[in-house]
Amino acid sequence: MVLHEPDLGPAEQVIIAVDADSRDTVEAEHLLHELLGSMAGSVVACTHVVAAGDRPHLAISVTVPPDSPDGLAARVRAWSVERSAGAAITRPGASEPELSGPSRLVRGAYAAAVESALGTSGRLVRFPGAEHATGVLTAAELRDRCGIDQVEALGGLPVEDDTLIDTLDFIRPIRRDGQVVLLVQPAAGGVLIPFEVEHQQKCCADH
Amino acid sequence: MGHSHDGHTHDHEHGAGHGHGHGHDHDHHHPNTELDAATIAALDESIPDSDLSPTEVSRRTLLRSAGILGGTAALAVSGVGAAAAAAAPKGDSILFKHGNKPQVWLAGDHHIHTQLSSDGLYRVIDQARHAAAFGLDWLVITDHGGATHARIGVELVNPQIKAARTELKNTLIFQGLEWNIPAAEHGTVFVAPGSREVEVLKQFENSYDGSVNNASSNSPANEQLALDGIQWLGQQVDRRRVQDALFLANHPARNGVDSPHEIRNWRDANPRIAIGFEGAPGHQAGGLPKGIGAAGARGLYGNAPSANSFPGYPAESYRTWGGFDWMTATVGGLWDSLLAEGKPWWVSANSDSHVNWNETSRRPDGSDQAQFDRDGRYMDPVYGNTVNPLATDFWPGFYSRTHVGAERRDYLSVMEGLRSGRMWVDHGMLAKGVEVEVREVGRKHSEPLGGALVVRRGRPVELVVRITTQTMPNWANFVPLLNRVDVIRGAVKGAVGDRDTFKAPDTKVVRQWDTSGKRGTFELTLPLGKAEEPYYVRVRGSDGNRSQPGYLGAAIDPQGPALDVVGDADPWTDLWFYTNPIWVLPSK
Repeated sequence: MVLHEPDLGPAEQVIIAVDADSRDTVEAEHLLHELLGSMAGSVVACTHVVAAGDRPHLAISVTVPPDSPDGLAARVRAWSVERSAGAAITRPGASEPELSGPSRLVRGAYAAAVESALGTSGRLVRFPGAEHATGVLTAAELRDRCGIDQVEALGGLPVEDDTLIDTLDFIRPIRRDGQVVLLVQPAAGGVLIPFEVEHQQKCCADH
Repeated sequence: MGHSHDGHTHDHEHGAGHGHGHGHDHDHHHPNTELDAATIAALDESIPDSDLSPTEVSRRTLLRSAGILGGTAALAVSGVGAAAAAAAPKGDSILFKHGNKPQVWLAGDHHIHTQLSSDGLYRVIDQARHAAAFGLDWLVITDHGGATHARIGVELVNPQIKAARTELKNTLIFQGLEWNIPAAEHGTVFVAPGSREVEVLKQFENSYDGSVNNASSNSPANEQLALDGIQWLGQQVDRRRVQDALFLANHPARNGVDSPHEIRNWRDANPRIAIGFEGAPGHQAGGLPKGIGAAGARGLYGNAPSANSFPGYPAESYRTWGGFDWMTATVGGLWDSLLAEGKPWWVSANSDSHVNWNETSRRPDGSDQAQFDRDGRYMDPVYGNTVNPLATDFWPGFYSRTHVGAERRDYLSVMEGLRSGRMWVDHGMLAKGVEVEVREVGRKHSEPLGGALVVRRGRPVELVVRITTQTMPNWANFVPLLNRVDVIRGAVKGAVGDRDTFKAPDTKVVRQWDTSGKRGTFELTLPLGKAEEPYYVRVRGSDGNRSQPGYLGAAIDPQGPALDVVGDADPWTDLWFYTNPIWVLPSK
């Protein structure tokens, strides 16, 4: 069984980025889910911080092979028009990307597409191998089977090949310098757990 | 393990020989703040390839083949991010002053919620009576700012506070509020009691609260609103509407939204008003293990960055270290970078009590959010016939204490003690007394916490730490042991160029004393050498149970507080005290 997806460089892929002014990761991931559904095949889906302007928020990007059979691009076009979102759709080798939407949100979509193409930043929501990242795994298993390049613990704690990571069935690795990095933190029972856990205390709500 | 994760977004890593003249400088409100300088350069087709670094060329190649290069016009959206960054207030250059010796140490807590908070439970008297019973001399009631509180809560709580003042003659009870700082986290704002305390707080909240004014997100305009609020408070003191007012930032590193430049700007907006932040947050029961507690993150520091977070902060900053906020716990970190500027900025420790661990009361039936929104407060708690081990807070005074050296036991003296930095904090009653002084060797005159010793250049100076070990059991009913005392020293370099810096490269632990087995009152003396350049010293102590090399490495801090473990951070087995600094200033 081939566990790693064929290693297409981003330059050979189609990148579809949308800025719908999502306030937090819950909203951004909801948007991804709405656009992708249960789309099969090789998909990389990310959230991206759009920090400029008067309201920092999140955009999303989806990277798919150019021969992807479904009409994702068409769906995104229609959706973006309907919701007045910004969209950037790239084609390998094209002279320029296809941009649409209000200028403020086009900007975020374009920046997200650039980050996605370069692999310099972004937070991965769907990616090849994520489906194997459940339960308790060793760091080596996360690297070998789950599309993670590097497992890095907070506070300089050592991570060996056989270090156990309880994924809590929710991992959101980040991209850094072209690498997929899973940040982990110490937890009860001597295991490490992902730095980002599924349920975040809402900022500026209570407490 | 000296690792450092500098801001990935703010790195300016230009390749060697990178010499093109196109300005890649960008401040933190640059319209393209997401993309780093190399990417911006790669995207800018007006720069020929020959002027790019190898990294920039390879990025351009990648972007070109991905079909993305031709869209850069999208980045040049007019108006976006064009608003000027909130002007950094100038502030006084160096605000040194002599400190007065405290006559009395008064323990307190400036971060306490009641039924006037949408996530609170208790009456004012419930909090005040427990605070007094657990040994506190002063407390500040800080219900959350917000629409309901601004409309009615800020008034409704006042009769409860006045009644509690009458009931508890020896306890100083301030009225304040937990300010949603525009563009940032929460903070305590409180005033001296008086006929206009409610009027001033209400006007402040309506004008400057981030939630009331829909000003929470991180924008230059919202940052400016925060500064306006701090300055407005100062004006109310100048005009004698209130006798005094203070602001301290709460849980500053929790969500990464208090950027270093915002903290500096608050301080400089009015250093009489904006005096510090929580060195240790509340919610200290949050990390108690499964079976006896919530098994979450200590201090409820469990989040990951959001869109409003300062991108330069590392993941480590989102967690507590030995129960303390990363900004304070990191030797040579953000707090030290503020002190190294030679300006006052103090740390405190509080309960942030909303609902306390092992609580047996609850809100009565029918007291729900709608009832709160209508009436401005929840109904009084009732006995709940059960125990709640999942609540994450401790009563005021039960675990966290802020000890203030005051001239008298009164409201204004507590505020002046706070402002002067005559203040140390501890967890679990780790020490009974901590007095720190700096003096010229052989001289009687000494400066207490928060003070500045002006000494002739070249004269020898020494630090004296006078510890009184704990004789009383704490509220977990054991007598804590102070097993180690550390001295931290840092050079004073003056104002920083980059107001987002959060490192003080000339600060480190210079002495560790093993104090295990010592009992009663004892003095630790550290010669500080001849006074040549300005510096500060501060002191930290520990039960010695949990340590690891500091975030900036063992050479800076060999045995610092350890990163707290999610679900396994029993706060009673990891106790620390921290003092505020004393400065030494050589004169000619």
